[in-house]
Amino acid sequence: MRKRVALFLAILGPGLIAGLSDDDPAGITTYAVMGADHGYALLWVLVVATGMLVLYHLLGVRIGVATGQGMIGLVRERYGVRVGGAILVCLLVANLGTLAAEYAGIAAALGMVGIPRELSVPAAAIIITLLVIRSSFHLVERILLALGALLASYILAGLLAHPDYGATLHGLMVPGTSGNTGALITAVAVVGTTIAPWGLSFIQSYAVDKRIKAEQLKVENVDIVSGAVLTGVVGLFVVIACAATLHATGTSIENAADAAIALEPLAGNLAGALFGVGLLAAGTLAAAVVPLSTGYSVSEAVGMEARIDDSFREAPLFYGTFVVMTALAALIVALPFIPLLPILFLSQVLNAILLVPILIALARVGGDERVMGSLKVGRLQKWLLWAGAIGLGITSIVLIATLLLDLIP
Amino acid sequence: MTDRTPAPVELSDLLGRRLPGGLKVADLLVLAEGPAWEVRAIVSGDNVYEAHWEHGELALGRVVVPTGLTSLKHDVLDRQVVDTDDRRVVRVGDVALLPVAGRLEAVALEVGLRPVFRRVGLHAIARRHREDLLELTDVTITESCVVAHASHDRVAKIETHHLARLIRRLPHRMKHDVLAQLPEERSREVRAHMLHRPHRPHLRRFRVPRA
Repeated sequence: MRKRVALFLAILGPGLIAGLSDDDPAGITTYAVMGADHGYALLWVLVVATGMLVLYHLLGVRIGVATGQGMIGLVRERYGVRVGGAILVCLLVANLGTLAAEYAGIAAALGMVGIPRELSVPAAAIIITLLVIRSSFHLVERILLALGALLASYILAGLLAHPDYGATLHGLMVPGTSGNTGALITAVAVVGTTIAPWGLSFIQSYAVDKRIKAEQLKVENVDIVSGAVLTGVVGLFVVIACAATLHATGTSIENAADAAIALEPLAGNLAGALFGVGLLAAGTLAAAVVPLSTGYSVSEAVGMEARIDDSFREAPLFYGTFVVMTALAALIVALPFIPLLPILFLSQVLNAILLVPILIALARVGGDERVMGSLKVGRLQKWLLWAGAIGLGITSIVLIATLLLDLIP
Repeated sequence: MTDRTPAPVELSDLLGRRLPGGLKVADLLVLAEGPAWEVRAIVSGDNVYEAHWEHGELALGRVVVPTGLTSLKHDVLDRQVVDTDDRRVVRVGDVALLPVAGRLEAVALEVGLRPVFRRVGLHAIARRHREDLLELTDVTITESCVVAHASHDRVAKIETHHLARLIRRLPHRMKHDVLAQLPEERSREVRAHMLHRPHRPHLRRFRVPRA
């Protein structure tokens, strides 16, 4: 028993970190808006999104273990350097926008205690960069896991808001809508924010980096399922906190920081503060993971694979990508004259566009015995993966159409 | 022997190239043995043809049934190179090929940024990067990757390097005379080394210590 626990603790990480980093500021904002605008009615969407997250994260790690390669490396090997390069360029732009959103979340959280973004964003960027570059794999992983644990503050905030547990259960189990025309868009946004290309790329590369073996896969699956379910649970409590307070009073919000401020008079100062702490932790965790994911992708695309344990000198491209991405994202957020909104918009569109071919490629690779060998996915999982790819494909098309329609005055 | 040293060609340049008769090169199959892998067959359409090199171009021979051959496109190009400790080192960016006496031979694996930029059409940036080559005797092709290992005949290699460096400095005609006097196998090895840039200190990073 002790041996099993030690093994679990040793390989714990990829599932939890990749899962919880999906609860980034953009995700928290989407959940908060969902709770505030639609109450408990759309909670079932979180169940679907969490199920898909479990499915694709299990597959990502499985492919990483079977092939010993990250996602972009595998794309290059199977589809050539041009396809790999094209996906990489889209990922770079999409990840930059996503990272800027993470820093915007950090700025908003620290702004709640009066720290200006001109100070908070560069400070956060420097601290995160130094942490990742100068620390060992294990220290980075522990800090990321600790940041993930801080997301539990959302659960406390949710409990403090005294939600309607009957309505929560009903919302989780009975698919329905609030009757609002924005419900579909919100549902699509929740799925889109939960399953992102950078997250899929990260979990596969990270599993390879951690050298998880086929015989450890069963234990690793516990880590993946735990991470994905916790991601869903955090999202659930954000939604019910806002449903119990903001939706009940008819208060609308624009972002997660608005939610934290609006929660204070309705659920108490502690609930608002916990919401703010959660936002800071979410932003910091994702601000470390998104550039790591990008570093992995760039290194794999050009064939200079690296590990988090490597020094800067051993892996200049990997860490250089991390530094450049972080610096650019921090600049975008900290400098008032750089337009943040178009960048965030473009990143959302690119994420949605990228998701479809990536999911199709993953489903194809997962079912290919020549690539996966004995780790090839079973028939049921294969059907679920294809169903998920088609469902998410439709979701992405709706999301892109919605975003583009927003552009029309 | 011709007047000029045969110019090396890259696999990525040949793939997709249209052959006389309108067929396209889909893949090249080699006999992966020794320091230079002879291109034995061309995959085009649904058929596999005997490979020839005529007048500076690939040419199709009769249709053959390939056995014991390695696909350069599927088994080598873009494959991960790992060291003997299963550590990911680099990725195969291209395969350098050299025409030798009516045949085409793969003589080295090109790795690093140069082939990546070249293949996506960024030639100017590609030229700014050094040419990193892996010798074929230093690698083994497996089902899932390319394994780089230390040469077991290091002494012989050093002599070949020295010879290649010396011959490179000779005038054109003398260069060919010297190469012509060498045994065929050795001549081929030296030609392969002459493809490499002088000094090649960067190759050391791909060498792994013997177990």
